[in-house]
Amino acid sequence: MAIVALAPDQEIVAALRNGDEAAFAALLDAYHASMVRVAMLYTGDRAQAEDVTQETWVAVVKGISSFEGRSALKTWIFTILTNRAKTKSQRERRSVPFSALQSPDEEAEEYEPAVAPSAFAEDGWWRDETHPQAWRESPEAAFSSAEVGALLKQVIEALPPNQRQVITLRDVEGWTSDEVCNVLGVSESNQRVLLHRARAKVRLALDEYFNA
Amino acid sequence: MPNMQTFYNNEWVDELTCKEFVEWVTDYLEGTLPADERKRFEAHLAQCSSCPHYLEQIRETIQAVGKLSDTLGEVAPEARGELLSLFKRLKSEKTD
Repeated sequence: MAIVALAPDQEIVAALRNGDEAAFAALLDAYHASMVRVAMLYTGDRAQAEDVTQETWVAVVKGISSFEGRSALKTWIFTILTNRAKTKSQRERRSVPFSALQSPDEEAEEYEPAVAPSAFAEDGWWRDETHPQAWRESPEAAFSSAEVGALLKQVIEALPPNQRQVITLRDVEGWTSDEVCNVLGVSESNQRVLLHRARAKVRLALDEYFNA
Repeated sequence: MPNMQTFYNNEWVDELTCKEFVEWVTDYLEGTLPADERKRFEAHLAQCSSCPHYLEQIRETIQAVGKLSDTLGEVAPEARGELLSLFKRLKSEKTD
């Protein structure tokens, strides 16, 4: 993840209000690429995601004079972004798949085990055939093979929308759970449930790959 | 069915099954397991031969997913230039 040290919110806000171009450039470098990726979670289309991001920057620049600092600047910016991205994807999609209509809280409330129940014996311990074994290689070490990266992207892409959003924000973009809860409007416990399921599915895909 | 007990770190704790363990992994990593459940989790981790692999695989999964961000692009220079001039324009409109 792009780790760019930014000044405290009040300083950035004051600089933007003064028309400080360097402050705006620093904000762009810190968030723009990430904003396009987050918008893509909703639009699924890169050109649309870039439009939404551009519109968001306009809204940020125009709205900065009324920004009250009740939330973090980052949360404010990404909330504008995700609201616009949601509206856009709803407007442009003729038929919305049912799963996309579920709120994150609704999705989290459905029961879904991290590991298939059939992997466990009646006493709740692993069966001999299914117990986890050390992977022959660490995915991180194997990452350079491009194959692993492609596999991860594919698995994340196939996750239910809310799980995909949470794992992308937490584990790809490196957001804190507070930031994710604020921007997605999901409770902390449900955010954890969605993250848990998403990670479990990605682990399963890696397990099939590294133990094959 | 009452839980079996297991002796860990000088005390008796309720035994956790593997099936329960895998559901507690995220709470454990997020630091949100209550103290007594954390003890049960750690007791199971110390006594099971398979679950440490599961936990390690989840950790490796998180690291690998994190590496995806390295493969994602930065701001295209054209887009950056456009947005910077947009900023200048919007700001000058305001002060006019």
